[in-house]
Amino acid sequence: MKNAGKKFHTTGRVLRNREIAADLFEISIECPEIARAAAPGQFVNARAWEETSPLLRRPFSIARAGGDAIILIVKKVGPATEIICGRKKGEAVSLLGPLGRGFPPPEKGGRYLLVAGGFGIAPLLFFATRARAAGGVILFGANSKGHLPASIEKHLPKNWKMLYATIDGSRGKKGLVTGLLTAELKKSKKWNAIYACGPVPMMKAAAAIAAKRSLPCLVSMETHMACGVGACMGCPVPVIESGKPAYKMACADGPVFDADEIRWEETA
Amino acid sequence: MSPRFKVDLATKLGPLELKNPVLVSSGTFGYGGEYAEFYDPSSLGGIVTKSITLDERPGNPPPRLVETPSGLINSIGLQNVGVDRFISEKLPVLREIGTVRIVNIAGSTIREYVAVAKKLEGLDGFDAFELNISCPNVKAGGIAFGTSPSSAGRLTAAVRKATVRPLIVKLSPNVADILPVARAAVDAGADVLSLVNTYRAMAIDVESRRPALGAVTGGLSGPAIRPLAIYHVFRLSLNLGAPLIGMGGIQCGRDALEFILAGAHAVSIGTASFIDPTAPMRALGEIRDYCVRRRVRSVSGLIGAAHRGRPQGKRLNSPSLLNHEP
Repeated sequence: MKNAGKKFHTTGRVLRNREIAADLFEISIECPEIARAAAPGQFVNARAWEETSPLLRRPFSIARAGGDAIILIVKKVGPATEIICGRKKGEAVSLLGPLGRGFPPPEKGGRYLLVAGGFGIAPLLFFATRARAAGGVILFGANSKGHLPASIEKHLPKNWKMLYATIDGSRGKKGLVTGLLTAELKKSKKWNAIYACGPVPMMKAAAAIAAKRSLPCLVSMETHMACGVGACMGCPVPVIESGKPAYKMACADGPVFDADEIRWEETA
Repeated sequence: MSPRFKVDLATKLGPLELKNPVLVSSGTFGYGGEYAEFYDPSSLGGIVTKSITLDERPGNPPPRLVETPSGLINSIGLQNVGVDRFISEKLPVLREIGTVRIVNIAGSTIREYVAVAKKLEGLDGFDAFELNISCPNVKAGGIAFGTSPSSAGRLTAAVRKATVRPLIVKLSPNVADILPVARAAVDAGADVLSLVNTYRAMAIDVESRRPALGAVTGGLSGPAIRPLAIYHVFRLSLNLGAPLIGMGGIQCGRDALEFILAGAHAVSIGTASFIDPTAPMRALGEIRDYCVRRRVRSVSGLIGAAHRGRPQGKRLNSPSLLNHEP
């Protein structure tokens, strides 16, 4: 995994914030130091208020980074994300980042099969937009087309395409995105790896599908976090380490993990 | 341009000389290196490591964190590398930090605490021990050491014999009366008391209808507990002469000063670092600014100032402040 490099504590300014799907916001934030240092799979710990409730920063995977800005894809789920999703152009967001260990750099000419559930699209989109010498397919699943951003695939470089799956069949293949994954693997097994990010049951299923076909699989895990820098031990991911059950930290050892090392039976 | 008013931030904390009164709390600062990118930890008055136990501890199942109004309940479960790996992997980093370094130790039995202290005592790279006495004593059915004066006293006495270094005992507020526990620790040889550790708390997720924490209960920290901690510091300072480190929800210089005025010789900042990694340095700057603004030459002159002056008098004899021991 790419080693975590220098971290910055900085105040970014919102450049643009728009709702791209139901309760899903795409927020562009000017933060030159973080934008230049960020690597796919890394995240920021964000805070956009002075009060003590909500208390902690919230972690968001970086969806894109270029020039002086990063883009976050944020789902409005509670009081903190409500504030962040309500930030207007010019307003401040305190950022800590880039944090965590991201995806390994893609192999030149490699082909990657990425499986995204909901806002799990973020780190996978970042990986694809930076993987210009490689190629692959992003399988993007959601409940219905209203939950899928309309034009997210325009950011993909050539050699990449996006396919959709919706539970209600309103866009793309009807059913779970892992059904789409199985279908794609029937067409071809020539993939360097499968990467997955989304609800835990989805990642668990994708990991099992990859294992059955002996394909390497990496996942990006999301947990509650406090410090974000590996100091508090608050963000454990159950793993097997040296043959024994252990906990690694999502913020410092992850958020990208080898699917094989995760004790899936201990996850939610 | 007038020269800036000179403020002396040096503080004496029992046998320890601190360059300033701001420390960082155990469990929030790793082993000293994790925040080094944001500021030089040598600028702090001192750092306190994550609790070290004899054996490596995996910690509790997730979730280990739940946010509550102006607070955080944590149930980390003392995940740490154990004393042997601490010595080989973490002590070398600690050694290089140029301020007072306090190693926090925890255990399930008195024997374990003593074993950790003995393994570390002959090594260099740190300056003092802090005893985490909020751990369950497995030989006493899991009641925390810090719950009773006698077990706190026995634990402190045992570790006291194992070290010549300054010994700090970190008090638990999950007791009926913290004063007898504090007195027992001091009588058993504690040089300094630190208070308060986290408050036992829990939360329930109404959608899953289950406890929000993997280990069900945890410890509450953050701004919500500050008034509770201030009470304990003020009362302890009134009734006991021991040097105190005050902590509990400090977010800024103003909060730190509140603890100093209540009677704390030094303060410790924990949860605030998660919100702002530079919080301890910012608080230190704000303490200095206050002293300049209020013409205070030495911050240690403020220690316990809230006890003094009119119209305290009889009000300090209120039942909530008294020593209840016969």
